[in-house]
Amino acid sequence: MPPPRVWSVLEFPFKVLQAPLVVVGGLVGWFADRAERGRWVSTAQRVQGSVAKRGVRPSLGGQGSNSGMGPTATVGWWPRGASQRFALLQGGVTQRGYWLAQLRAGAGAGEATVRAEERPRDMFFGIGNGTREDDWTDYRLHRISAGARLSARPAASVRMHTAFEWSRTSTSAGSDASHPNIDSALTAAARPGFGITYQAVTVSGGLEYRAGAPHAIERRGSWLAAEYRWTASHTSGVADFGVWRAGAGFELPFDYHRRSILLALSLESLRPTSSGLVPFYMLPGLGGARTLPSFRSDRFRDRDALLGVLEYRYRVWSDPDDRVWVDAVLFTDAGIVAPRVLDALSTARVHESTGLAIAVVGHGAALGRVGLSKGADGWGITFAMSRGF
Amino acid sequence: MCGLCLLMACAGTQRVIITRPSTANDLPAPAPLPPPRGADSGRAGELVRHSLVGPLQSLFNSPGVARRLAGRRAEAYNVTSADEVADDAWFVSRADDRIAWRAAEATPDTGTPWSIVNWHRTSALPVVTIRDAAGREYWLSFDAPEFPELATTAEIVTAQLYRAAGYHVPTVALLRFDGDRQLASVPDSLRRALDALPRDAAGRLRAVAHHVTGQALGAFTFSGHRSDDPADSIPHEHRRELRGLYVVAAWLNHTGLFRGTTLDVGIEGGTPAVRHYLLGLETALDAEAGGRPKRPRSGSEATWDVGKIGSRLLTLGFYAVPWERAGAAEFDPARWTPRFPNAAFARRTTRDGYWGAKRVGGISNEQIAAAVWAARPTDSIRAQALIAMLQARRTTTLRYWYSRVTAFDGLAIGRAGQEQTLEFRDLMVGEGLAAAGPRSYSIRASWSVVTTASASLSSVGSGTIHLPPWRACAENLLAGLPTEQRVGWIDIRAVADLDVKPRALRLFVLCESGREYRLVGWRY
Repeated sequence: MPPPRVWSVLEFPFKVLQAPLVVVGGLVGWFADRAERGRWVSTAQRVQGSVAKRGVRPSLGGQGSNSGMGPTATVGWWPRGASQRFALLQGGVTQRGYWLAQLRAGAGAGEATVRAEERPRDMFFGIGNGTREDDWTDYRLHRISAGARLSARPAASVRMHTAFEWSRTSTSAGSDASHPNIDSALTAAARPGFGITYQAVTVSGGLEYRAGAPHAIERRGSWLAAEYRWTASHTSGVADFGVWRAGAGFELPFDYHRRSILLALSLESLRPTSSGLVPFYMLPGLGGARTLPSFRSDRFRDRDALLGVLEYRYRVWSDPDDRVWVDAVLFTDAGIVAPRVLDALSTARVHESTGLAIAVVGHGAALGRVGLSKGADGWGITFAMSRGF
Repeated sequence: MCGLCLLMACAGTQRVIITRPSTANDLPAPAPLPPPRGADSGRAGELVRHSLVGPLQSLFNSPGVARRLAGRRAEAYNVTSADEVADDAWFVSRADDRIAWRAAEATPDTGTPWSIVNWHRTSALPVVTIRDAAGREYWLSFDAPEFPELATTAEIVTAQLYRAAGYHVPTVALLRFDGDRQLASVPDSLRRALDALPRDAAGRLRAVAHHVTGQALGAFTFSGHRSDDPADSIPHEHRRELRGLYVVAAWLNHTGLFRGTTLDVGIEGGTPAVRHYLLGLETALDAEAGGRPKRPRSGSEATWDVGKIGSRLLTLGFYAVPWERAGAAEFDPARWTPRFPNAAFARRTTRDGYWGAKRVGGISNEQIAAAVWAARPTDSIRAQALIAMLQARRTTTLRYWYSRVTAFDGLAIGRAGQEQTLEFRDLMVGEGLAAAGPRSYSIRASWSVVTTASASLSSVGSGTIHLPPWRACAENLLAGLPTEQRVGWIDIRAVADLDVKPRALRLFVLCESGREYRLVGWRY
């Protein structure tokens, strides 16, 4: 067996492709973000203003909720050998000043993680289905966590997992001076959990069935997934709660697998299991590169979030060995958030996002998806990338 | 301005330029060999050059744009008065040596173990460079474990057929050897790679030994020229032998042919010269890189085809090329597409295609069979299928290109009584693509109106037609005039029931003082 080596970027062709895209995406997003907040040079402001008049607003998704794109670096030992042992140190910075550092190690089915991240400019639009795009505040979130995860594949298309995590999260006022401070803009009831240091332990378990090629982009192939996550609070006044995530997607290929229609539905539902408040940043959300892409990340938050997706995909290019291909996608996302979504289905306003996207897909490693979509908040340009590992 | 350009472009195609075959006097003065170039796979470069740089450059080439608007392409620069190519560093007409190829240095000496110079992987398969007891170096290529004999058969067969067509390829020899005995001091990594390779019942490896005599100088490109080689003065995209190579490569399904699978070799001794070789033969026939079988799209769509991508995108996926729906496309000699863009192929004209088809037509079905059996296949059924496939593709190729021109060969002007005649061999009939017997031709000369002549063709296509009398020449009215004013032309076009009207064969004749005219050149 060859000796383990320190990973280099050249060993993974997909990452070679990812790296410049991430850097460019980060620069573009950073530029847009600075311009949007009025802290950039006047030329950038004029460009942004001109673009904004046409209703186009870049929205870049990447490392996490509302984080935008940015370069990440990973060093360590990637899975190798029969036992698939690995140890990786990952670090990243995004254009919004977010950073994360993460140490992951494991072998085969088990993995342990220690992670620290800070998001100084997360946006909060309020809780509920009827929030307005202009009424947002920003806040700073700092989290450290440690966890372990076990996964198993009883069959090739079935995956089970269970996980344990300890986390400590603190929030404070954001750094954007051009918008009202979250403290002054919202009452304490409207921003539950803000300003406290929240410590919790989470256990979770889930089952996933995925048919067809093992694409890493979630919205590809037919799948059925269910997960339950229970979080016990170690902070007084904060409730314990459980979150159900369930979803199914069905992709019907036709025309010699060149084209397909995909229909997917997913529900995330949070239910407290004890008295107390639920921090707003723990609520299920919609919006961003992967859900309602014409809306900003986590544009809508509430205890239930329901999302439906209808897509028409067709292949426009594939490499001669069929390892990587490019699909064009026409899609419509529709979603609502509500305290109890089934009660609100007939009355709540359904938010829709319709557009087209170009997705770069590969066996076992999806590379990214660029989309242009239109919704009630205007146009959105999204760029989503799956994690390589 | 555009109109002027269009006019210039159209006018340019009507000019008659009779070039002389290269002679020893045309050779450049001896010069030292150019320095070797570094290794360069060239894939990304080719894609960028062809997809981005090339189109941008062509935008600023007004005559070129006008020619394209007029549906015309510039003809190759290096054609002789017989619309042929002179033997040179790119191509050698091996009329007397079509398939015989028994170079002494083709096979490494197996009497003593070989030393390993180096090894690397190409598309997951090992390529081992060895040195035999005589000090000659060879590189050995192998089959993939899942597909024994596929890649090596493709290399042996293709090398022979390319060589028979006139192109330079490495000498190749099929080997079966015991790796433990024949290879000395095998590193562990190579041993593991060799252990994974298929072996015969006796435990021997099957490999192809390649040998090139000379100094490797790096790859050549299919556009531009090598500035450090004084003999390389014609832009490669305007070379007839590289444009015509499209037809041969299409016949052999050599999809992996591009800059990265070429090699310039410096030949020392006497006058130093650079010879241009074709490599990557393992991607020909039904084999693909890595020793795998070809995929349905091979030969039908390039890796990156902006036109097809755009068509699919704009039609919401309703546009599809045949291979996408039928699983594999029928061989189309005019639409065959290599994996990488090729500037010379893209500029081919009907005349280039016909020239290439004659290279294919020069290889008989018996020679094809001999080339396949030379690969010593253990599966005779597969060998027969390969022979049948090559023969069928040959027929398809010839039918397509020969029907685009008036495919006359063996041209000679004779005399029958007071009239001058043209003796010829019609390749359509000679190849069995048209029936022997009476056949009509439309004839027009620079001094006469259109007439029709008929000839009775033999089974090999030989025939004779009467040429229109040139009264001014016969009456000696042109005597004393400069040579260029005593040149006339005769267009001959086959009158055939074909979908496409064939190009006329234009003969250039010179009125001699003896009141006869003689043939000085022609173009298809």
